[in-house]
Formats: sequence, structure tokens, C-alpha cells
Amino acid sequence: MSNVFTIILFGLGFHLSFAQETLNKNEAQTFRKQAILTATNINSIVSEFTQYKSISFLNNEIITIGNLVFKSPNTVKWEYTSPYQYSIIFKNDNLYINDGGDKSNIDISSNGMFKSLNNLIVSSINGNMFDDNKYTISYFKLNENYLVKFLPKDEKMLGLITSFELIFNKQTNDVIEVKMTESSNDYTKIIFKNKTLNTLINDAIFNN
Amino acid sequence: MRYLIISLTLLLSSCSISVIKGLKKDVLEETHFTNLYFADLSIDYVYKAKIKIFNDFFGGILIIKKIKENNHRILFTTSFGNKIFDFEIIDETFKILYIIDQLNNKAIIKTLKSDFENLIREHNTLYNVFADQTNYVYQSKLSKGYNYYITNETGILLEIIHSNKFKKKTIISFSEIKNNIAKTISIKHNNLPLSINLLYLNNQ
Repeated sequence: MSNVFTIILFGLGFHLSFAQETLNKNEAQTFRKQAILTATNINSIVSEFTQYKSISFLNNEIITIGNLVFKSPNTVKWEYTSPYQYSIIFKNDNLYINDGGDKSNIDISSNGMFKSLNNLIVSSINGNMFDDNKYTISYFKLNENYLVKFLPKDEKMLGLITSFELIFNKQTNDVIEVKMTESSNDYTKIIFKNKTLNTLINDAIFNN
Repeated sequence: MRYLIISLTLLLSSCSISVIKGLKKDVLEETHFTNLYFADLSIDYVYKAKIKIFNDFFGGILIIKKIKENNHRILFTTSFGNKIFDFEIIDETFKILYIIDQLNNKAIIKTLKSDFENLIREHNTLYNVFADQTNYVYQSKLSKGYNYYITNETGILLEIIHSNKFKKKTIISFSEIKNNIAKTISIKHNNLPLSINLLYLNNQ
């Protein structure tokens, strides 16, 4: 009897954690409008994050922890604090890197790849990736959240990343999780926590 | 002319013995030297990596994984997780699964190939062994040149020196060694501005 109970419980848990219901057209449109409105009203984000890198041939995920600071329109500091110190700052068409004390910077004004990386980071953290020219977008309801899948249309990008998945908090419509899956099925998943929006950011934080 | 030949001969012979200079030839008791640093199938060897190639600097994570006997994957990604290169070594075959355009250069690939092959090669047939009071130097012959495996008196591998017939080309140094894992590894080249520095991340 207890086995049956376990199976039911386990089965239910499994069902709940993977419950993914497609949003109908109206629901998707309403959610999309709200998410874009939330994104456009974001002036700043401060958040902790945990990054999980899954690689098919490894036994364990590689877990890194850090902090994110974003200031509108496109200044970002992405800082890893554990298990190593590394930060990358996108500011004024420059990329500033501090790799455990080794500092460098790259002028990205003429580098299309870094510019699109910056745009991608900004749009994924503030949740405004809804560009139908670039992505085939589908919308799902999870238990407490919304899941949006973005499949790149550009073949060059598709060779590297097959999908972006953003999970939005149902109440606040802001992004709580980002997952990028590569063509090899390896993925990078970033979960944000202790996120605060629209606080005053001291510009000195973006000095390398 | 004769002077030039003698000088050249002297120069070449003095270089050829630089690794084993002052060491006495010892009795070769073993036929193989085993490098255990990347030999455990159950371990994901994950390192924070700083790779300098000419004037370009790459910071990221280097993952080395023994998939099965004589088969390793070597993957270098940025901290975000984007691939920089992905290699596979099966026996003596080196496969490039991915490399970014910036590094897709014959000379760079040849050097990285040689470095990683030397770093992970587990079973090495011995040719000679030399010793002084504290270290042993195991010489292994390759198709081109030699690898010298330098251990302390307890058999812990401290350095691999890759040389051609005449001089040291690459020095791989291991330090902070515990349970067959080297916490820090550095790879330096005497003839190329390419260096690799690795710091083990205990992620498990």
C-alpha cells in the first residue's frame, strides 16, 4: 500500500514539476504586453544569481555564483564571486574584464558579436526579447510562472544556440530564470534570486 | 668553417642535455611512466583557465574529462558558458569538434594539440631514467622529440618538459598536488608567446 502511495505522490510530483500548458492566443498577447511594459519600466536591476552549466559528458553540473547589476539602457556588470572571482562590465561600447585581478578592456563599438552579446544579456535579464523577426516565440503556463521559448531564426546563431527559455514570475512579470541550450544539448541555466528593481545605482560600481 | 662546425656541435650538444644536465643515469626498472592527473573516469576535471595566445587573452573554464580508456574531451568555455574550443583525443587521433574563428589558425591548433596531448597522455613508454638526490627524470621518446617526466623522490609528477632533439620547447608545471589532482598547472613555451594557467575548481 505504501508503495502505491509513494508511486502516486511521486507521479503527482513529477506531473506538477513538468506541467507545461500552452497559453492561448489571448493569454499570450496579454502576458506579452505586460512583460514588455514591465521591461520598459525597469531602470535598474540588482540581483544575485546561480549559474548551472550542464555538459553531456560530465557527471556533475558546473555551478557558479555571483551578482548582477544592470542600469538602463545598457550598462551591465556581471560578476562571479564563487568558486572564482571574475567580472565583466558592458559600458559605453566597451567591455571591461577583471579576471581575478587581471584587468583588460575591449572596444566593442566595431565588434558586432560583442554588441549582440550585450543586447542579448540586456534583453534576457530585463525580459524584453519579444522580437518576432529574430525568434519563433512560444508561451507556456507553469505552476506559478510563465515560460517563454525563443527559437532563433538566424542560421548562424542557431548553429550555436538552439533555444532561449525565459521564466517570468506570474505576479511581477519579471525574469527569474534564463536557460540557453546549445546545438549539442548542453545548456547554461541562470536562476536569479533576491532581485530588486529600480533602486538607485552608484555609477562607481561599473568602474573596473 | 671547422670552428663554426665545432661551435655548432658544442651548442647543440649542450642544449640537448639541458633537461638532464648534471644528472646521473639510473637503472631503468619500469618500462612505463603513468601520468595520473587526468586518469580517473569518475572525476570531472574543471579548471579556471587563463590562456594567452600572442596578444589575445582568454579567461574561462577548461574542462578535461576522461570518457573512457585512451579517450579524453577537452572543452574551453567562457564564464558565461559559450564554447571557445572543444577537442577530443582518442588514442593518437586529435579531433577538433569546435574552435572559434579567432583561434582557427594552423600554428595555434598545432600548439594546443601538442600541449593537451602531452598534458593528458597517461601511459608513456620509457627510454631512460636519470636521477639526482631529490628528483627523477623519466625520458620518453615521441615520434618527434622527447617528453621528460620529472618527479620528486616519492614519485609525484612535478613537471613535464617537451623537447625536440636539442632544446626545451614546452614546460608543464604541476603544484599543490593532492589525491592525484594538481590544483595549479602552468604551461609555458620557450619559442612561442602562448601560455596556459589553470586553477582547479572543486565543484563536486
